This record gives sequence, C-alpha cells and structure tokens, in this order.
Amino acid sequence: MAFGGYVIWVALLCEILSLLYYSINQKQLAQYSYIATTILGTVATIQLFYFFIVKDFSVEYVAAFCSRDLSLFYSISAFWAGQQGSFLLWLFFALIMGIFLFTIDERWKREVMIFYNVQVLALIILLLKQNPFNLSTLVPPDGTGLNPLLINPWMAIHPPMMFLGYAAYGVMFAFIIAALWKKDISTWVDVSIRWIVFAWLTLGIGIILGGYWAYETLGWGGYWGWDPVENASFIPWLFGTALLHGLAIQRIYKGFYRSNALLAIFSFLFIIYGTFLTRSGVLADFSVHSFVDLGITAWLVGILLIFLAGSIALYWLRRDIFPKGEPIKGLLRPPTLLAISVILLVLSGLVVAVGTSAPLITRIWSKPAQVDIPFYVNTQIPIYIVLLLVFTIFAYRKKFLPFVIVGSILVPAISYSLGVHNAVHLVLIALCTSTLVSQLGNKRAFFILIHSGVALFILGSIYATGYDKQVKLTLQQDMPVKVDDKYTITFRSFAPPSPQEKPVATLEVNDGRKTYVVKPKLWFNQKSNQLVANPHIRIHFAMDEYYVVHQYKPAVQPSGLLVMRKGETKDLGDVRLSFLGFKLDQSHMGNAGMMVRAVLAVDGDKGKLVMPAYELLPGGVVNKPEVDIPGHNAKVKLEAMDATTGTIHLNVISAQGVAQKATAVVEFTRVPLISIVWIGSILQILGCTVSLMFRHKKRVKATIQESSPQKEDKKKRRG
Amino acid sequence: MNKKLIIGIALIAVFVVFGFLNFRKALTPYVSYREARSGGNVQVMGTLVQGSINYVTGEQTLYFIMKERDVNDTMTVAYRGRRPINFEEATSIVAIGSFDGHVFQARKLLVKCPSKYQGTVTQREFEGGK
Repeated sequence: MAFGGYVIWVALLCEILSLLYYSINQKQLAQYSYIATTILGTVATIQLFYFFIVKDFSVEYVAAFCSRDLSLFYSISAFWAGQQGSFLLWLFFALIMGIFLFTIDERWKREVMIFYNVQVLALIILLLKQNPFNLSTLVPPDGTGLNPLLINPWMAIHPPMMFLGYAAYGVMFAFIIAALWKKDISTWVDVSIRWIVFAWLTLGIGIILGGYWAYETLGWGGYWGWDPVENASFIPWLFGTALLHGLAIQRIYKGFYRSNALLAIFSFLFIIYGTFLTRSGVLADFSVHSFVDLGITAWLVGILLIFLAGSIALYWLRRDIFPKGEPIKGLLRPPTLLAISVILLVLSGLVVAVGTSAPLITRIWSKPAQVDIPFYVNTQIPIYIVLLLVFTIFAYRKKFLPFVIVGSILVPAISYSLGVHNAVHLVLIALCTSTLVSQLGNKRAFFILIHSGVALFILGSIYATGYDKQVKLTLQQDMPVKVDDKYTITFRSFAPPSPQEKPVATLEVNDGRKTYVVKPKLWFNQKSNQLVANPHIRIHFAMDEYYVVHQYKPAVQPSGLLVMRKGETKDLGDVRLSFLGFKLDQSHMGNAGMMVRAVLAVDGDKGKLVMPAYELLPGGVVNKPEVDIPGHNAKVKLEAMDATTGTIHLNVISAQGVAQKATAVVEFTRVPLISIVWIGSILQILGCTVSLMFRHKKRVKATIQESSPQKEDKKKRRG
Repeated sequence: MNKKLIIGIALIAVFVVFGFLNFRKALTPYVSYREARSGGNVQVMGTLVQGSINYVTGEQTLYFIMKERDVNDTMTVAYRGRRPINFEEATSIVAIGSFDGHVFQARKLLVKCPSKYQGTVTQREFEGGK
C-alpha cells in the first residue's frame, strides 16, 4: 500500500475523533479533528493525482486506468475513471464541503456536523474497503490505459459534477436529520436552502453533461437510454426537484412539513440506493455500464439499511413535532399547483425507481427480469402532460391567453404538417408551447428560465428521439450515393490524418446547396481490444447531421499490365508507379548473361523505389522475379522491355483475390431539433444559478438587517 | 378538502394501476431457450457458436446461433440493425426480444467482450434499427 493508503487510515481515526468530540459538545476540538481529516483526505487525493501525473504504474489503480501515451489532461481525469478513485473524489468533495459548513449558524452547527460526519465516516470506510493505493506485486511496463470512450472533455468533468452533487445531497440530509433531532422543523430550511439548490444544480449539470457525452461519443445518436446508471442519479434529482417545490409551499404557505422532511431524507437515501445498484454488481446482467462488484456490496447494503432505519426511526420518534400546516385552498391557486407538482415529481421518481429495481423486485417471485424502455416512456408521459398543464396554469395571466391559445394550436399544426402524426406527441407539443408562451406572465426570472427550460427539453426530446431519420449506407470509394433526394454522400478515403492520429473516414457530403467534408473516426484500441466509432456531428439549430462509420474494408488491389515509357506515371488501383529509367546491373558484366532493372518510384515518392529485374541467363533462359511494392499488398514483375523505344511492360500482381474498391459502412442520422434539448438544459441550469445568487443576496441582506431571528422562529413554531 | 383528497387519491390509484400494467408488459424475464420458444417478450443469455455469424446485407440482418449456458440447447437469433462491434469476440450475449416461430427476433443485444476495464464498456448495448 502506498503512503496515501495509510493516510486514509489516519483520516478514519481523525474522523471518528471529530464525531466523538461533536457528540460530547467539544466544538473546538471537533472542528480541529475535522480539519485534520480534511487535510489528510486532501493529501491522499493529491497523492493519487501525483501518481497519475507521473504515471506510477506500481500503483494498481493507476496501472488500470492510465498509460504512457495518455495526455496530461486525461491522465488527471483518469483519477475518477474507476470505482476506487471516484469514491476518493466523492470523499474529497464531501470533506471540503464540510469545511464550508463551519460557516453555518452556530445553533445548527453541532447537530449538522454530527450527522454529516456519519456520512463522511461511511465514505471513508467504503474507501478503505476498495483502496486506490494498493501496489501491484509486479510493476507493468505500461498501464492498461483509459477507456477510449472516456477520453473526452465532457467525460472528464461529468463525474466530478456528479460527486459534487452527491456530496451536497449529503449536506441536505445532515440538515434534515439535525432538524428532526433538534425538533426544529421550520428554520432548517432557511439555513440549508442554498445547499439544497446547489445540490440540485450540480447533480442536474452532471446528468446533462453525461447525456451530452453519450450523444457526442457513443455513436448511437441518443443522449438518454434509461440505463440503471443514468436512472440512479435521475431519481435523486427528481426527488430533489419535488423537495424544492415542497419547500416553496413550506416557506410561503406554511404546509408540507412532513412531506418535505421525508423528501429530503429519501432524496439522499436514493443516492445511496443508486450507488448500491450501480456499484455492487447486482444489475450486472442488466446494464450496459454496471461496475464490477469489488466486494463492497455487503457494506453498501449495510450503510443503506443503517441510514434508512436510522432516519425513519427518528422521523417516527419526532412525528408529533410537525406543525399542523395550513390547509391548501383553491384548485388553481399556486399552493395547490405546487402540491400537485410535488406529487407528480415524486410519482415520476418512484416510477423510475421501480423500473430500475425491476430485476431486484421480480427476483422475489420469479426469475429476475428488467423492464424495457417503453415502461419508462409510457409512464412518464401522463405525468409530464399534467405537469406541463400545471406549469401553464401557474404562470397564467389573462392578458396573455390569446397568445397561449394561438401558440398551442399553431406549433402542433406546423409539427403535424412536418410529419408529427402521433396524438400524444401533438398534445405534449401543444402543452410545451403553452408553457413557454405563458411564461410571458411570469415575474421571477428563475421561474421563467427553469420552467421554459423544462418545456424546451421535452419539446426537443419529442422531435429528436421520435422523428430522427436513420439510414445505413454501404459506400464504395468515390461512388456517390443519394439519400432522400437531398444529400449526396461520397466516401473518399479512410486513413489517419497524421501518423499520431486515429484513422478517420473522409466523407464528402452535398446537401443540395453546398459541399462539405465530414470525418467520423473509427479506430481499434489495442489496449482494450475494442473498435471505437466516434461520430462526426454537424450541429445545426434545426437538425443535426450525425455520421458514424461502422466498418471499413480496404480496397483489394487489382492485377494487371502496365505499359510505360520513360518518365511516365500510371495508376492501377491504389498503386501509382513512375518509370524513372533503366539500370544495368554491373555485377553481371562479363558473364554470358545480363540483367536490367527498371527503376520505379512508388506513389510519386522518389525515396520509395522498386526495381524489378529482367535477367537474361545463358541459354536464353529469362528470369523475371516478382518484387514486393513497398506500402502495398502487391508485387510487380518486369514482363518485357524494349530498349529501343524505352518501353516496359509491367505486371502488377495483387496478393489478394478479386479486385474491389474500398468500402465503408456509414450510418447517417438526421436528428431534428436536438439543439432545443441542450438549450432547455442550459436554461434550467441558468435559472437555477440565478435563484442561487438571488438567495445569496437575500441572505446577505438578512444578515445585515439583523432582524432578531429567534423571536421570529418562536412565532413561526407557534403559528 | 376531503373531496379533493379523494379525487387525488383516485387519480393516483389509476396511475398506479396504469404503471403496474405497463410494468408487466415491459417486463422481460430471463428464461431458458425452451421457455423462450413458447413466445413472449423475454431475454435469453448464451455464448456465440463460433462460425455461425451470417450478416445478410440485403436484409441488414445479423443471424447467429447462440448456445445456452450449461444446457445442450442452441437457438438461431436474428437481429435487425447495426452489427455489433467486435461481435466475434463476445464472451456472453444477451438477446432481448421474442421467438417468432422460426428464429428469435432480437430487438436489443447486450454484448460482453473481454476487456481489461472494470468500467463502462465491459458490455455494450445495441438497439435494433427502426
């Protein structure tokens, strides 16, 4: 074990000390111990980074994910390519975030830190069970290298975002448990709301980055596949969304106290549950991703059960502290609409959770089975139809009604004329439009951004996943192929642009107006034994063109005769020969025979010569040896020559069978309006960031004004 | 309030039933080849019979024979869509689809290839073309 491994053991001790000191209310000592844990965790993190930067393959984990040819940037990002490193990163973020927790209100600090420390402790234990600092017994000369699919800038920042989100969800959990412990169910929100928004924001960014990466790298033209790994982070995100709406009810309309407590608890429990699903190997036969079980399954189950039992027991013990809450009145008023949103979002989350857990659930009564994608799509659609309706009503203002009506008739009508004939899709399109248009009546910037972002996301998804057009083409070199009377695609070549780079297929595309070149990659990764097809995407607002090359068959060189004069250049298949002149072989002088060589330059390169000989042996025997043509799978033979005219007859002999042009199998997909999906995502992120800043400002103002918060608290609790 | 609650609960109940029916419908249990032949939306697992791969370009369909693990049973699988990369090297294949009376029509293939990675691509998923 490397130094970092021992550091984590010491960190464990410090962490336990911190927990103990907080428990006996020795805040100063506890804080010191926590800082010590953080420093140790940081040291371990830095050391692992260092091992990756210097490519120290004596560390097993580094050897598994790094290699000599990996650039510095990706060597660093290889840190979180595997399970051990990602747990260390998670721990690192959690520790740093804990330092920021020192700044919270003194009245909350002790309890929050206790329950936060419990999580940090669990993380350290998990990390010790799968230590990234184990040393190899035999140091390999080179590492296995980073999975080629992860060599992508989006994938380099996706995991850190996810783990930042996970760690922030932990803060939220610590707050709600502390609130239950302290029997103060009202004020915890004011102290923690920014943390909750931050957690929700980072997890959301992480999910979107993952989606964009999938679209850009994997070559299947989509961005979301309802895979357990994706779902595992989507469920807590949905619960977090529900919680934020529930908290709005709590803060403005004084209700939903119980539900919010449960939502906060379960948002975090679903993070652990997701970790269990994806890191334990229970879904090994059901997922594309599935991490291999590294022997932490039992620990994950144990931690999940402890957190579940502990928080539910505490909730039960505190069941009487919840204020009754004011009744929510009026069907179309904001509190009711918010309540409906919460219920819908919880339903959405639960449905995804049930679907993802299908192999575990079905195991109870029969063989484990998973559910297909249609399950998710069919069950989410009714939820989002109602949700979009709620969005529309929420922002509704009478003076904008005509716009809403016109918009939600016009956009589906246009879509219908463009080929969207599915009734459910048309309804969804109408509702997305009404949501968007009704935002005119909304006052808050972040509401407008987030809600129109969601509407755009759904709108884009309908077009992009429901109406993409895919064709698979087998293209012969230099033979144009027409697609839908609009595009003409010609496969020109397949080669690496430079010796260091990966091979790309060069396709010339004419879209009826202009001609351009696209270069999808297809390459074999020696280390992982995989063929990797990276798409080339031409991004347009209305429609992305998505090119993937799946297969390349090199040309089979034709055989044939070439008649050439001195100075001439001729092609046969891929072979280009230039006849430079004759060369008389001096060593044969004086013997009865003679030998003449034709000097030929290959592919126009005078440094690349081939010199087939014509040897006249005594007794009239002619020897015409076949010579390999450098760089080609063919030989050449000097069949005959005429010294007087300076003409030679060359026989080019292919080493392969029947001559054939090079072919490439290309998948060409037109993905309509996927741009809207990304724009919608960015709007949501922006909206969330705006709300975070807005809350920050408000908080600063509140601290300046110093309005005696304790009195207000008491009032709230009584009311 | 109560009226609203009842309507709400009724709606959620309807949704739960709807969800349950969809769950049942979308469920694809792992079954033996024998069970798969009796029909239904299922998934089967097995190994590739070497040399059995046949890609029919005209139909854009991949045919191959799969052998059931630990059982002396094989089944021909037809898969319309993109030919999985490195298919020949697959150590284990999961086909999701249904038996049409002649061959197993796979909608989706999950291919596990030998790989040194513990990470994401020890398996790859392939979705049938539209």
